Amino acid sequence: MENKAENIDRYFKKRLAALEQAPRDLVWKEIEGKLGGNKSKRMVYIMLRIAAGMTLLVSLGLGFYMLTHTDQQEPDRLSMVPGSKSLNDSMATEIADPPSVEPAHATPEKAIHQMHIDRINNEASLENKFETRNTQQGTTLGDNNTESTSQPFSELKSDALAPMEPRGAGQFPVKHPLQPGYSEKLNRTDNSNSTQYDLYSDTGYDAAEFVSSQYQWAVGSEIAPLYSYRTISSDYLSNSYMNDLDKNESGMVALAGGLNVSLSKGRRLSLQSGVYYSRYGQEKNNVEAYTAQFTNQSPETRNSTYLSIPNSTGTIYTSNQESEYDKVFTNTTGTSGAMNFYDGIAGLNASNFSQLNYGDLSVTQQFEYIEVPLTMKYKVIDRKLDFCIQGGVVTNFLVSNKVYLNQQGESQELGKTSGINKINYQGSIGMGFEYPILSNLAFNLEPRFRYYINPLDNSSQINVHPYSFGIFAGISYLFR
Amino acid sequence: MFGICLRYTGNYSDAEDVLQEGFLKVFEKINQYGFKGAFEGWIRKIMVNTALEKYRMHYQMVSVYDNMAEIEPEQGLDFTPEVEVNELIQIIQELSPKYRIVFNLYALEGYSHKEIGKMLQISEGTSKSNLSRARTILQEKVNKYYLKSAQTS
Repeated sequence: MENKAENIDRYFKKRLAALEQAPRDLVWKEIEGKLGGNKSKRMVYIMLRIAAGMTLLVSLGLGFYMLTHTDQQEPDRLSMVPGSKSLNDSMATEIADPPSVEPAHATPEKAIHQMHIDRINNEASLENKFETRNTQQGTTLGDNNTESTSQPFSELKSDALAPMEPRGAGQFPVKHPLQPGYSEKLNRTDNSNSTQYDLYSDTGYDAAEFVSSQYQWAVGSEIAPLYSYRTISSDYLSNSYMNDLDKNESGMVALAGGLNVSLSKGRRLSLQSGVYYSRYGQEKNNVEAYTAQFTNQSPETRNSTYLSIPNSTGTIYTSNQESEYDKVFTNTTGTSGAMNFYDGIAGLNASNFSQLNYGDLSVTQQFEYIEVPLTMKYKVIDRKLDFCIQGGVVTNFLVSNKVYLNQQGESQELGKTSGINKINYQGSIGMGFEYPILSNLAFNLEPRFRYYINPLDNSSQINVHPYSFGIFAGISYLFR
Repeated sequence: MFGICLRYTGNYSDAEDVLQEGFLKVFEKINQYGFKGAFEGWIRKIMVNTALEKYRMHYQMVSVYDNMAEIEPEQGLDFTPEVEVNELIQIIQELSPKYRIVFNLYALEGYSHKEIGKMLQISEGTSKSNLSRARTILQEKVNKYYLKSAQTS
């Protein structure tokens, strides 16, 4: 028998060992193409990682800029005078806004204010007759009507101003409330100036609205449908294996939503955080079901059923006792293939292995997270419809992971995924539109792209980086 | 090299895949070739490893046992029928992956069961049993093919 067996070995070796056949030309062309293609694929992964890193850097950079820039601006704003060249465009727009200025003059206080300014303008036109001096009166002007003044009023010396001086800034805050730094000026010159502040509030102005350098809090909520999938790469596994995974897996629509709180200083920059819930997932197609008999077991437990699932992410296992499947084989690198597993099962009669014809089977792998984002937003357009760009990092805490089997039109819980990280970090970039509904309430629409900075499973030979794209819609309430 | 790929895989398309991946590895790892042996042998080893990798990683749970009912037990090969090479390739490709791999490694490459066990992460006994099963199937198929061609001629 042994000789006969060796005969067949020799027979095949003689005929096939030195066999040479030429493959199709197409194969060589594909090899040539792939030799160049690998580089570009790697570049994509590298670029994605660089993009995530840059997002983080930009966020931190903007934060640093905001903190340092606003501190430096403070004294400038206090000494700023109307008509000054340093007045920035947005402020100039606010000051020059006729509809908001006109009604204010109707009040007695404003009328005095206007008379005062008119008189000052007349005096100031004779500035060449005066010698200049430094004054600490702080009676700077803030109305758009004074734009012709070419020199800071505080530098003028004029006896003609004397009647005005006793009243000073405390009694007649000639600095217009529309001018930045208005409230700071009031607060600095005299504690009793809070009366003046209220005086202007009564005129219909919300003075705080114009104090752009103050901290402002806002809370909001938002929700988004997400398209989630993943990128995979491996330094160890072959391209065809990875391509098979790509063919057999697909992304899916999931969701995210939560509450956020944001702190802004100035009109343009804000820092946002919050607590979100999100659900990501992948779908695995080409799932196959098998049955096998164990000859060494009792008839009741003899038959076992199996699922073979192409899977890049973690290891799927059955945990649902009610599931009809006893075992799941997944294509992770932790297993060396389903066939090998069969070899290790005592009492398995391989000849009784057969595929079950269940039609289209698919498996949904689902991960649920509590997310804590830290996002920096920069408002590019500050109009009625605001537009901002944003970037940041999101910390994800895994709270649930489930695997569902979709069989014959029904979905049942199959098990879980093991070997995935409990805490993950995502880079997030996006943009946002904000439209005011009420004075304190705004509607937000923010498309965001998020990408896992770390692989989902550090121990695997496959680097899985999930990503998601979603359009977040929500409302925010601004505290004033 | 394509002949090797054909022997280790289940069909022409898979063989092309293995050849492609194998050659990509050759180009990627060319600096690792230490000139310690024949270049052809080095490439051959890469091709075999690529085929094994594909076998290990690629799930192939095809039920190959359905056609085993046709096999009569223990018919030896007492003669050397002239079967076309392409038919032999096909016969090998029809084997279950685990039988095909073990038969190739043992009978054509000359590895021992101990080595095969390590390569495939299976026991030595499993390797022996797989080889035995592979031989039985191959013998039967060669005989059947020969008888069939003898009847038609």
